[in-house]
Amino acid sequence: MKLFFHQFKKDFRHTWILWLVWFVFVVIQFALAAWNVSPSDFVRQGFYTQLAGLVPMIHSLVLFVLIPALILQEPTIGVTATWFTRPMPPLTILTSKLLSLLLLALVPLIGQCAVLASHGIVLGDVILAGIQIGLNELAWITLVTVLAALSPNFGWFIIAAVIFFALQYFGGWIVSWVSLFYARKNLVASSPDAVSAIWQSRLVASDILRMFFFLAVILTQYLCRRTRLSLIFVGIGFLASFLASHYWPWDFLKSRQGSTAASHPFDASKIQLEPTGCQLHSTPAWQGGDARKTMGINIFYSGIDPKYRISLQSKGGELTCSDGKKIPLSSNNSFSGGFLPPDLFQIGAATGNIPLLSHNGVWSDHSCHVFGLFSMDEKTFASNASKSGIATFRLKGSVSHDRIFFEIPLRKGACFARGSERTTITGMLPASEGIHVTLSERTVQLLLKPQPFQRQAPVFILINRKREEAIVAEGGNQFHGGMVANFLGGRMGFMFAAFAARDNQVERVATFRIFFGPSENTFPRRSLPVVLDHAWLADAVLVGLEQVSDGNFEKTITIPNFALDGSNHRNLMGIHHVEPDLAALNSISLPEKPTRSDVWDYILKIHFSSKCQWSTSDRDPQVEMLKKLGSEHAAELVFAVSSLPAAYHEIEALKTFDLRQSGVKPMVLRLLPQSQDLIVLVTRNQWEADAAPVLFEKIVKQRPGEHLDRRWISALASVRNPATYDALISYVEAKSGEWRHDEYLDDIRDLPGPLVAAMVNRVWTKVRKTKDEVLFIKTAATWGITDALDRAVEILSEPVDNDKEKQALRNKAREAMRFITPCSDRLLDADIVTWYSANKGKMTFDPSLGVFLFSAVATAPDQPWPAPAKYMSSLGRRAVAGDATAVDEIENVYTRLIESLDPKRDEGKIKRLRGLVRNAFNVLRDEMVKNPDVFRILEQVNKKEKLRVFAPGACGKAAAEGNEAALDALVHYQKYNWMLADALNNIGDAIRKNNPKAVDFVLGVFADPNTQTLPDAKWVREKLIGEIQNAANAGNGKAKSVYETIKR
Amino acid sequence: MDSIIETHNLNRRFGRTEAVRDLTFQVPEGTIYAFLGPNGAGKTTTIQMLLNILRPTSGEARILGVDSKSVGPAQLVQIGYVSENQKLPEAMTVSEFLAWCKPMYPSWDDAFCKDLLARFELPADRKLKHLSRGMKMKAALLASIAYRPRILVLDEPFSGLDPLMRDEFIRGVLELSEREKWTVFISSHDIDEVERLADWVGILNMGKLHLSEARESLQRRFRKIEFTVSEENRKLPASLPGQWMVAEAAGCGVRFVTGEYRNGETEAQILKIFPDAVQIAVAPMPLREIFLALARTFRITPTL
Repeated sequence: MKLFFHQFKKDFRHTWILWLVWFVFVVIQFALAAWNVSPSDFVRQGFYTQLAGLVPMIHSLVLFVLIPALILQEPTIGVTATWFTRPMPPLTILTSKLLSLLLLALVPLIGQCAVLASHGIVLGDVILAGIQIGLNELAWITLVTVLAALSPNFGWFIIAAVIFFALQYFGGWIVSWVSLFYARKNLVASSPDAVSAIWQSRLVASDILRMFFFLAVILTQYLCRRTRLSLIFVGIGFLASFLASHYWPWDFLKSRQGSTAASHPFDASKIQLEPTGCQLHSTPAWQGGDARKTMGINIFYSGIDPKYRISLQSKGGELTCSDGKKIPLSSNNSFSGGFLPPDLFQIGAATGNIPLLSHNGVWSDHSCHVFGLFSMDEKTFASNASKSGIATFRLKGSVSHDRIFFEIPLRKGACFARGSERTTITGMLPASEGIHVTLSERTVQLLLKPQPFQRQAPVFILINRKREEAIVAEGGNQFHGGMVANFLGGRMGFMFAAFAARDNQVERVATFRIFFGPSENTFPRRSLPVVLDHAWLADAVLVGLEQVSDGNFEKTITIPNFALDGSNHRNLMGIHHVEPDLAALNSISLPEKPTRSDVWDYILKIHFSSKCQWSTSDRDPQVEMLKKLGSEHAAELVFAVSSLPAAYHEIEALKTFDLRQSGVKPMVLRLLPQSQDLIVLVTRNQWEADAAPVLFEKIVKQRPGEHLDRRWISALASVRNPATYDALISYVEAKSGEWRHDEYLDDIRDLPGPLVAAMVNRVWTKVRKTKDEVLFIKTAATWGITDALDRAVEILSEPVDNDKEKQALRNKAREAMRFITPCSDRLLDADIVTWYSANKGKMTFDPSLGVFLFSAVATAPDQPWPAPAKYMSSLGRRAVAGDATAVDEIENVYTRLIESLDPKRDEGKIKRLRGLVRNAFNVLRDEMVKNPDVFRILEQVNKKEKLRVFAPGACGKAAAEGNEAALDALVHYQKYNWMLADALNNIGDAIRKNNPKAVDFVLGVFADPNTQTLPDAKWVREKLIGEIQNAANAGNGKAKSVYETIKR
Repeated sequence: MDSIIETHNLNRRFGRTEAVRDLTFQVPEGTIYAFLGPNGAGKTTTIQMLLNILRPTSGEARILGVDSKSVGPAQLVQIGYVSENQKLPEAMTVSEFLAWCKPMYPSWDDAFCKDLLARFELPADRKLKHLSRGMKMKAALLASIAYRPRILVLDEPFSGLDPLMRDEFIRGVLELSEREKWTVFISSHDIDEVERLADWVGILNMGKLHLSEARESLQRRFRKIEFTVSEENRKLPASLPGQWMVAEAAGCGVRFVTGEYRNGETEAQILKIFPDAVQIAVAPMPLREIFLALARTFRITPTL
């Protein structure tokens, strides 16, 4: 022992300067490891990164000098060393050297472990890290020691080192080339699943074997000085190391962490797989490999709880051609494509179905893509491309679900720890529509404890449990860069080594920023239904979801009539259907007194069942199902509009609710810019004034070519804010070239009429005498543009031309004159011209009716010019409301409309004009169904001879609904001075409802011989027969027997 | 007298070269054995095999009664070794070197060491790499005798030394060996160096030992003989006795060296062969002349 310490002291004394330098660098590395540089501080981070890479390199170089300085004090090569002939036991010298080497490995190890422990790494991981660090140090130390032990002096040591590293470098090339050519046939990438973590185990085994043989060399050199034997050990060591790196069979580092590495089977008996669209890819010949054709395919899956996610991998298959030939279809262990991010169901299952405020790309249609269904070299493919038959494929599926693995309050400094991993909130930055949260994630990467290969990044969610609202982080984290806080850095080493110059960082700190708010990747920017204000965020928690493996399964799919080139395989359209999926919908139920989570789950299930429905309608059962939620759950439906793609049924359900007291108005207004369909809620609930700023901004900021829902325009116009007039006028003026320009003009009728008319005049001026004037001439006339009538007459004055366009123009001009002026429909073109010249000065434009009349009624300059039909309806509503003057006004309108017309000659035109007036009476008709008292207004109407013709029409609907007064009026039509024809025309609804009184009336009239003497007896008889038939079909026995008699 | 070193058919091959062939000799304890031979004869190789620095290819060597392959600290503690080839730890000072060596030897004599240090006039604080060649050898010698070894092995200790240093070295070795009764095994290619020292002589050439004998015995049996004949430049007969070496005739004189001189018998033998021989003069030979005669006879490269 004395001699041992004597030798050790001697060794140290003569290399103390190098030991000091080494120690300084060790301390610097500790300091680096302990220095917490904020990764967002780019300048420091850059400096740190450079240091963290440089210091270990210098440390290695110091060892490169220190170790030979230690070893070569007592060289083991040659015959001239002093110690050979001194009674210093070789074992003593060896032990002294080994102690020095151990210190070189141990000091950094202990120090780094202390740093890791101070950073909160758990003991188990510190131990594994210590082993990793120790082995990493020993890998370098043993290498340098062996080189020194096999060198007689430092000069030869340097030469040996240069030769070694040169051999390694070029040897690596050679091995790569050999491997490449050897693996030529297997160039298609193997699935990572196929090899799991074996490659890491191999590298570790390789390193350990090499170190073992290096140690044998050191022992041999000192104890035996058998250099030849040592060189053999070196050779064996490298060979064993190389072979182990490629062929070591035992995966002792197999991942112990759950998630995707689960090997237990999953019961997939109920899972259905439906292949759909396929794509064929070509891969050119590369690095000696063949050119290949690879087919990918989409597969929809069902029969599994939506909370699960599936990823599929092809294991190959076979095509059985019609001639019986079988063609193998190998997949070459293609990459499975991994799992998509969790969708709303999976998130809901994990979070308890808390309604989500945003979509953010987490909707999936429960399909997955199999990248390499099969892969075939081009030659074989070309010779079989035209073949088709029944293809079967074996698929390996992996199933997983998501669970919450952490939940922390949303405040700076809040932290979640799991083992050695730590996630900490480092900052929060409110944004205009959301919040940025910066997180610092400390992970530990241990070579001896590999992570699951396909571990996905967590999904982050903000949950406000008080309000039961949640929002998923926008897809795609923004990494701020910077990690690196570790002792192990770049080092010269081995090509196939685990403990070498590669990424040996144990502790990694990464910061990243996630954003909770509407997606920043859409344009225009979307909004959330609620504002993530201070109050919302104060109650919010940050939740992380992680993927957990549930097992694997295997299934076989059969694709009939499968062609290798995919030409006859059905695409996505093939599996869609027009009708709702009733079977799926029938399985969805809403509990009694549902919670918000129940409601959200219900909505999601309904929405998901519609995924393959090609065309939607407001009569779809989904709408009825969603209506059951009632307005008290309108907010969840609004969330669905914000979160779910194509939320058509949800909007239809919302339309049926009275939302004025529901509190969802702010949400609707916030979502309005991105969901134009919500405008119908605005108009139905009379929120136009509140929505006006949104509507206005949308119109002002619309992009060229962007189409706005017409209801936006009419809603904004309805607010009658002069500040919006210019924008509205400009918008509609721009649409003047479209074939529905009349409708666009109708949309802004709430604006002052003269303003709109001025715009119409500008447009007319532009198109006059162009090929577009045919589209606009009548419209211009309906807006009081006299020049349009002048032009119409001018056109009619021209000789007839067989040119189609000119004929169309002429027809339009004629139509303008007939519809917009009191001109008779019976006049020839030339007569129209004459008539116009005689009457032009007598006509003025009637803005309320949109026609030129001899007795037009002007309106105030700032008054809107309503659509004539709406104007009439408004008169009807006034009458219903009890305005006594409304009926007079209706009469006045009718009088003005028909005043210059001949009842006989212009019967057709009069009928047409009555249609306009009837709009007023349709209001009475509809109101009478609900309010029998409206019949009194009808009696008032009936007193006016001119309006009497409209009265029967107002009774029919009410009579069918059981209004006795209305029915009685029809039955006793003569009392009201109505025509039998009018009564018959309006009693049909009551007949079809088998109203006995109505049926008896018809039967009575049919039986009345006087009926046959009427001027329109033939028509009356036909009408009666028709109604009797209707009565018979409605189940009336009497009518049936009469009808049968008629039939005979 | 017991042999402190003995070899039996010792061989050492380097590749195809036989550095030592069938070497068999003994070194009696307490003697100064001069191991002579030209450069490349195999002297250093033999010494290295004795001290277990090299392994013999075949054969056996024993030192201090132990097989040379088993020589370890227990034996090395009794052996002092100085070699021109050995690299001293040049980063150490003289005192550091001595301090490093001291604990290895239980018989280390500090007083003796200090005495030798003074005698050899070695600067204790100077690094070995800063010493001259002669002083390095002195330092090596000091570190090899301060513990009074039982056997001192000196491999070409004089090469590179100036005559004065050489003389000092020789005197020092002589004195100490006489006083301490050490065995000294000294190899050299310079016979003059060892003539004063050697009790025994071994001559090696091309790996083969031609002679291993006490100096007295050598000097006793070797004589240089000259005589005169009547005929000038007489042609010498082909069948001269085998022990007559380097016989030559010059004028009327004939001379030769005999390794087996017997008083009277040798003269009678001369007269028998040369009846007209007269004035037969018999003179003893110094070691150098004995060696030269042997060298010529065995065709040893005369670098000695």
